[in-house]
Amino acid sequence: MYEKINKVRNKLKEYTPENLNTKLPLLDTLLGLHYNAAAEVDIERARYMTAHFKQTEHLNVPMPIRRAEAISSYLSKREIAFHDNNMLAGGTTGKALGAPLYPEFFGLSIWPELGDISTRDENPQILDKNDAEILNFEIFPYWMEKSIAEEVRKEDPYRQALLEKMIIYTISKAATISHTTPCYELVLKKGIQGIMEEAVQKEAEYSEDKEKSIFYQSVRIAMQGILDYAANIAKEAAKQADTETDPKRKKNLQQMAEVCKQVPANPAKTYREAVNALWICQVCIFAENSNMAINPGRIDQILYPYFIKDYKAGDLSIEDTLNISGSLWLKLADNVNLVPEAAEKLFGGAGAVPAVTLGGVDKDGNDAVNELTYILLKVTELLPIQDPNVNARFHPKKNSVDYRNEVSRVILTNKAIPAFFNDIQNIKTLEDQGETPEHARDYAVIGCVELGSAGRDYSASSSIFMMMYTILYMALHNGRTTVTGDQPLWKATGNPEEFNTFEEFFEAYKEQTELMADNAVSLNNTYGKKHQEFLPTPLLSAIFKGPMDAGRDLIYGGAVYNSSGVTHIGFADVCDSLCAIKDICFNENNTDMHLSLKEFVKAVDNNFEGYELLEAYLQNDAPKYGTSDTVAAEISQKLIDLGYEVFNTQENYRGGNYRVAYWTMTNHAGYGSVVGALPSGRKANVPFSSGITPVSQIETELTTSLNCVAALNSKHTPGAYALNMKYSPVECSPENVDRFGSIVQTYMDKGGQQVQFNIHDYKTLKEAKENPDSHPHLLVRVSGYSAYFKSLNKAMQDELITRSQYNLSSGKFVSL
Amino acid sequence: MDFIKALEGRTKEMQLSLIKNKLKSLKIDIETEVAGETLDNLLFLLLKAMGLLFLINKDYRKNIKDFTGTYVICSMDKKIDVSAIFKKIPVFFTKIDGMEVKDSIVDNATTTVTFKDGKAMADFLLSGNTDVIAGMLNNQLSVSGNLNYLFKFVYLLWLIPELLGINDFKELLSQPA
Amino acid sequence: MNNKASLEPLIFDIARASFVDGPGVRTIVFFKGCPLSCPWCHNPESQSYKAETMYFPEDCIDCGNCKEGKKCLTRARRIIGKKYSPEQLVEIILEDKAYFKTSDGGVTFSGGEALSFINYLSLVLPALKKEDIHIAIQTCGYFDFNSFVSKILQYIDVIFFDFKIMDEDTHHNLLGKSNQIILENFVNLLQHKTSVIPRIPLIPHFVANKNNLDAIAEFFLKHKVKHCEFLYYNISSREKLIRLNREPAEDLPEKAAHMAQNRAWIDYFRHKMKKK
Repeated sequence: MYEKINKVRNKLKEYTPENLNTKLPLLDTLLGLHYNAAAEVDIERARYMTAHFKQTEHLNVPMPIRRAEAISSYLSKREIAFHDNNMLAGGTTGKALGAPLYPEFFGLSIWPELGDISTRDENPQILDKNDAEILNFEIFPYWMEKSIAEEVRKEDPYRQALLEKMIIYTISKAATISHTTPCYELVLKKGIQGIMEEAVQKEAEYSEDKEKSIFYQSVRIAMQGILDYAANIAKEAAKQADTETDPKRKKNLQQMAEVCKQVPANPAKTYREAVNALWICQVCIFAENSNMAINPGRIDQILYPYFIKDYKAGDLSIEDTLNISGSLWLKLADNVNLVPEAAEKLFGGAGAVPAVTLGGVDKDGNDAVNELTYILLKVTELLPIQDPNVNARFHPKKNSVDYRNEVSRVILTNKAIPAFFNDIQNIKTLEDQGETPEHARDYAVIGCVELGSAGRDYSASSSIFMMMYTILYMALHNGRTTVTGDQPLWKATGNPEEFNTFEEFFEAYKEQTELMADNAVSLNNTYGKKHQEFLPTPLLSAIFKGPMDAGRDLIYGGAVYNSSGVTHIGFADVCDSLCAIKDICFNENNTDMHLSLKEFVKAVDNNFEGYELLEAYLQNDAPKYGTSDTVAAEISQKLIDLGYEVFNTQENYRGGNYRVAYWTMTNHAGYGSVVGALPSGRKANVPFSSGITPVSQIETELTTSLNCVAALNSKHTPGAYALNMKYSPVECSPENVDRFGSIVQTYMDKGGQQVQFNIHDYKTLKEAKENPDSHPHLLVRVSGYSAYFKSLNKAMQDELITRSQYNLSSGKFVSL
Repeated sequence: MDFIKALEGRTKEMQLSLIKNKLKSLKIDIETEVAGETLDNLLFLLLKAMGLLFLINKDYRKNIKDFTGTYVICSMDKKIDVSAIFKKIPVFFTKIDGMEVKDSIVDNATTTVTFKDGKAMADFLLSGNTDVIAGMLNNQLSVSGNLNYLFKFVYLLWLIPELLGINDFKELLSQPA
Repeated sequence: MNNKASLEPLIFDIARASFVDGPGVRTIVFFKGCPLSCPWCHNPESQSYKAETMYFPEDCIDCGNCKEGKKCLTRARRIIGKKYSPEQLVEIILEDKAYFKTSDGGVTFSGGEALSFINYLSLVLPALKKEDIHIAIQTCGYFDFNSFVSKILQYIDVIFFDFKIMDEDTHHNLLGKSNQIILENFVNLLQHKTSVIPRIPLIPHFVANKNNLDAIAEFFLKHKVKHCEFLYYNISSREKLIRLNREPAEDLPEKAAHMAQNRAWIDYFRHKMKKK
């Protein structure tokens, strides 16, 4: 096996980012086009969906069928475009780089900007004038009462209003059904035709069972949409090929026509067919569900049989494989989220985050790294683009050091991707969540960092965002928040002077956590029920394990596993705040700094004005998570345990549980920039630390910092976490690559679940902020996904700049 | 509504000319208000203008075809209490889509926006959408009710300056008193 | 040598997860105090055997703590040099044992001059060797050879040995000590099995000049030394000297040498080594 792999690896050495233009001119051209593409708002789907819903308004068609028909109508009628010579056919939208608009979710939020979204300062998204008119007069008015948030408001206006206060909790279901890994293997093996036949047969079989027969009927309709779309591509490609004069483009169009005649209707026979079938289905899922974290999954496993068959037969060269796989990478990057200006501040720069997972072990626990793993790592090295979000699973006992080092080398080369995931811990964690060993071993990364058995786990992993800042604020202010008036929001848990011990205070923190969790869960479940009522997902359900057997849509719990995810914002800042409270207010032995909790809260509320010595103490001497301090170690674990305790046994609307996670996208910067100071010494309007990462600029050792994170009980972080490390660039010598990989492996041996890197120094990032055009495509890791530095809002840029930097040569923390 | 009532019985041409004159004087009032200190009346004046623009500008009116939202905009210091009710307005010897403005709070609002004070409201009107979030977090404003209605309303509001012949609110603000 | 210091050393820094000064991932222990006084020393706070205060006036908030004899909380005054018992130091080093094992790394004792503290090291190294930790020493070469051989050499895996100035008078004038002992120590070390890697810091003008490099090359050829490493001049010392209330030497280069220039000297040196 290794011999064969090494043969491919030796071939791959010929390809470098520097010689892309001569060795792989197609990818070089596509990359250039991608970098230069401006994002355009695409309303085609919204137009067809709205038209269909208007027509069927009073017809009393069951919602699953009505929605399947609407989606199918769009898929069968949408325009077919070939923007470039990409080897794959189909696109998320009709634009080269499109932001699809989903009116049933949050699309109406760009209404105020219809006039100037194309020209706004931050991340403009081009909107055609005529399209703006259509939105204003035809599409938006129809959905005013019907968007999902409004349906929820009718049922639970109180909790919906709290959601709109923004700094209490967020339910991402207001915007999306997403965050899962479809089972593309099914499509490759059975073909859409096969799935459709199964649906027809079961529809007949269950004709007595109304709900099931409606489900199978809706699947059949949705599958027809996919077939129509592929057939239309084949037709259009053939038509354009006829008149095309450029021989290369002509040939590509002819081949695409042939490919799309075969797949995804029929089982895939070649590598190109398999990749294109996967892509077309991904596109069709976006017709039903918003373009957020729908993950291709473990494609080095799914696609391997097709690759190896063609490769062995001599029908497919390494160069072909790189071109087809690279084409997929660029296709996966063909869409961005529609972001209203108001949300830029909190969420700016986020991609659509389709996650690709490579390596790790197979279902039986054996080394799963194969030739295609290395080819796809090479593609990742050659194409430093925002999406897909590439993740490398590593099993320290089963995968080779060679593989570990190759992933490390790619990270050191493109300075950001892939992220590393620890198979030993993550498989254990999923087993602990009730997944069978075979299913747990077959996990894929979802969106940013979340884990779920690929194609079996509808994990809706970004359901709830908990604002830890506000929990702490309530505990310190007798249950009040800054946005809900003078009365306690849920419960008066005591004024600062009423706490005699740290334990008493922590009890108040715990109570407020429980109350926020209960309210967030209740609202999320209401959203879930409204999704069941208004947004069934027959198309995605058909490309998944479970629903077709159960005769039940994913949204009704048809999948094999049915968890929801809850993530936390501000972990390290709140942890350090609790440490500081214990150290300064409840530690008799502290002679350097002692304050009553009341006085401390006053200092914090005054943003430390007049408390400079306290501020200095907090910066330099207070216990901090990420250092070897034992108080901090204890409190960090206590917080992790608390999060698990309040969520893990809560039930969601699909019969699954809530998995706790710590990743933050750009939210930690956005929310941090709009709220007040914290007892940790963090001043008002300063970004929080990202994910599970210790607070920036605390003086600590790299290994100590890693050890602190690794020490956290990962069974209590089943949704995983994002640990962000920033290193100064080092020479990419084999010795350094090995050292880099060794540090990652040791962190994993100690229990770390995930880690991702930015190999950038302060200076480069500062330069890129001051002069964006000097580094137009600078790729950075945010907190679970990659982004172009230029597209991030200022708060997020500052957060990235100030992240602690470690100099790998000296091993030292470099202060800003 | 008093102004609309006063139109009763006049010829169509006369009604039109009265409305246009009223808009001219509103434009001056708005400019004066912006140059002034408190800005408490700005919104009311803008809404008045909005209501009249619907009557005389067909393209603008197209935005509210059969639209029936009710908005309440008020301030915590009670200095601003305005309602905007979208409904058919009896002018030109018929009933057309329009909006009635009241300087009081009505029940059953689709969407209610509460500003901290006149300044917070002016900041919102003059500085653009981005600051809504900061405004909400700083308790400068809060919204209850259907957000989609607010999105639509903000869109309609931002069309006004151009229709009145004012290039931009911001430009208006920077004019000398 | 400095007997007093050899009993109770101060350590001014411990760098962990370092990629330099030996194979793999390493912890570097920096002892405080050095018998030489190189004007270009890039860690001037490592030169004195005594604790020193570094001043960061930009961090001072005039709180008055220092006047009352209390701890400076703002870190405007930072005490450089801390005592660790041998047990404490071993414990800190072993914290990263797992990282050493995965990467074939270990610990490097540097300075200042690590070998000013042979007695102290003789209490630390056996405990580390028991845990199978790879041990490297970075030395200026000025140390008590007999004591070194009898007490700690057996625990050491590799020695990085600095070569600076070959002319005895210049060495004495500039660095405060003759280089006799240093060169003797080097030659004597070659008789032992422990691997010794000479290192030449390419300090512009002082070290990196034709005569001096010729002399080093000649010495290496004479003693059949084939392999050596090079270090580059680091200008961070100027700021540190000011913070230590010390005057930077007048003829200290103000800029780091260009990498091309460093490479030219390396080529020159290698050429010399081949020539004869």
